[in-house]
Amino acid sequence: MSAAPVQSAGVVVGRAEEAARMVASRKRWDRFFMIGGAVLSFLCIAVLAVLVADLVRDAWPRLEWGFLTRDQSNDAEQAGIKTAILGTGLVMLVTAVTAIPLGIAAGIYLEEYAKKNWFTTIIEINIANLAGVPSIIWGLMALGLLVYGLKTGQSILTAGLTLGLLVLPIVIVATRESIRSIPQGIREASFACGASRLQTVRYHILPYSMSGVLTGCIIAMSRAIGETAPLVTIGALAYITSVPAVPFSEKAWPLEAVATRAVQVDAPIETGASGGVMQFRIELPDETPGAKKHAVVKATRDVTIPAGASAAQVGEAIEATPDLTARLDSTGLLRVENEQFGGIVLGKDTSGVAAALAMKQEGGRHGPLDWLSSSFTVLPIQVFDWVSRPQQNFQINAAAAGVVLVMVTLVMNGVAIFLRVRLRKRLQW
Amino acid sequence: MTSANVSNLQVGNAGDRQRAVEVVVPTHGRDVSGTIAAVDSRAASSSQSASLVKAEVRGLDFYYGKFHALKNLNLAIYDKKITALIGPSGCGKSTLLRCFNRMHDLYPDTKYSGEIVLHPDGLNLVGPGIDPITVRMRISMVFQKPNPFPKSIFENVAFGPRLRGIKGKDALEAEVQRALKGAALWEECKDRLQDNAYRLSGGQQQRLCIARALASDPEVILFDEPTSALDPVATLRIEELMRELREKVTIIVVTHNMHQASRVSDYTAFMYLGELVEYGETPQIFQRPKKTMTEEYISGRFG
Repeated sequence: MSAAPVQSAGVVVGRAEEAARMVASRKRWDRFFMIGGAVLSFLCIAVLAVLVADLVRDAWPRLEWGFLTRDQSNDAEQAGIKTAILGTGLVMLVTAVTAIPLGIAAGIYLEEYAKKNWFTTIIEINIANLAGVPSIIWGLMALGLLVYGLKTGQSILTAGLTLGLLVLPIVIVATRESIRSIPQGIREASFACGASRLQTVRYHILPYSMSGVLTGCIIAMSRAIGETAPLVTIGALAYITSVPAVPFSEKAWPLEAVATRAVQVDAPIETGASGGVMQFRIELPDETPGAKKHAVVKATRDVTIPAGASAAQVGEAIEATPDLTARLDSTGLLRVENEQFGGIVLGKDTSGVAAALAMKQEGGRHGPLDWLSSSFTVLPIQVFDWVSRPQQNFQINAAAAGVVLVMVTLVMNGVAIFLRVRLRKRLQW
Repeated sequence: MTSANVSNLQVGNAGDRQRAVEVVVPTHGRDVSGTIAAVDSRAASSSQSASLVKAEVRGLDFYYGKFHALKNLNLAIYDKKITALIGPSGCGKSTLLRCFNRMHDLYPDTKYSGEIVLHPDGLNLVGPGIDPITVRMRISMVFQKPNPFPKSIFENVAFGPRLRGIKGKDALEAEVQRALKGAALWEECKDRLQDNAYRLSGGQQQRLCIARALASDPEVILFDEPTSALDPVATLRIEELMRELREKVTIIVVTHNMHQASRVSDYTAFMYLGELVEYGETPQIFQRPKKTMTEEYISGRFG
């Protein structure tokens, strides 16, 4: 009777050895994978750290407060990013105001209201696809639909709407994901208490999904803030000296800007200060076919504008000049016209004069939403502009603006993480 | 019995106005030999005895898409009594329960036909023109898994009263206190009303859900396996609570636990494959079942 136990004990020992060998082998793989993973993660972070450090080193001479608050300039050391920061902030404001409510509403509708049918299925597939559309395509769409179609111009409004559409799918997807993580039991409890769908959304679905929704919104915003391509497409300016129209401020007539731009466009205008008086000479070009434009000067008229004239006075001054009339045509261009030689177009860029004429009807102050139609620049475009200049000094500016952009993005992502952790902690089911 | 099913069923205590009731259930020529219903025909017509029957299920069919989940159910729910629905998984007991507060309306592709008449006013709960919210304003529900809102204890209970337009701190506090006392939770949490509901234990959470259901002052409370996620001690407390609540409201409870049905309920309905097999007073169902299928289920031979 002793043989059998010994035999079975042997089998047991054999099995134990086999198991120990297998366990050891799996543990080796485990450790191998862990070390490999750690090395790769470290490499990723190290590369990122080196890039940021390099950027900061390049940018070092410009990293001071004044860089953020100075206007643009052709002198690299005097140039700042005030207009870019303002532009970025205002464009983001428009983006947030459009994309966030629309995206959350769409997400709620698709999760809580929409019946599942072929129509909602198509919408869902399209939203997933829209998230993958290259941003330049959005820019082309905006150029066609907004700038030319709806005539919103190369403005903050256009840029904000474009980026809003661009990030809308991100907000929708984040909202839906977050809503989907709410257990069905919570909805049933709310309905069983006698709540309507809207009350259930208002008191339960929206508050409980808020962490995910806010995280999605911030991620969407930090995506939008770095976008360059669609804004270049719709015509964001790289160099801009005027800040967007401050609500209710007195409309200024930027004499200097009109002068320089008008010279560049159709009608040459000369300015000169004479005893506190700003003087324009509008030279009427030869309009005969084949004649070289501006080559033959047929007539000149001086338009005298007192220094510090209000915008309305500018318009009046042009009107008061003999043989000259000024009007805005249907496309928003300023036409200065002369009986003998017909009209000349000063072009859209003479925004001051255009504004002056418009103001004869509207009064002398900016409306609360005038900034929406201002031209603008944003941080990434500013970086792109500086980096493409040959002077070494502007490379430093580009690096410094890049650092600012990276910091803003990091802060936004940090807030997203904070919200996720903080708000999630209150929810447990 | 070709076109009608007639049965005698002893309901209520002897000497009560409820006594042996003869029930006639039209069957439209179909064989529904398993269907027994107790409908006090006088209760439906005379106002004097209307309080005895709180709700009547009449010829109720229910469909999930093409699936015929409830088949021509007829039964009466008695006022301020506990009615237990038992039967094996998939028999339709939860489906029937959720017809009472129109929970199925939340999901697509569901269809009711027939009637559930709520007394005393004769509202047809599953009527096509009846808004589910009006139904849920009168009939509240406690679910299988405790599902408090991730808010404070106070806000959980105050939700129903708020929906009913009760405003003002004092009025809401009075409602919350009344409901928490009704759910035997007041003593345990009167000092921590602002704590998150999820800091309560499982059993306390379920009592909070009962308080939430009570706060809307319902006529009927539906319990869908209310203790299946709880330990035996918590289960016992819930059962005690249900017996106390019977003083004030009508209760319908779905349970998998036959001991629970026999302990707490006054009436028991046994369902199988979407049909009502047997319905009667709980002691009769458990001690002298009329159908062999009921007896086999109760004695644990299937299900």
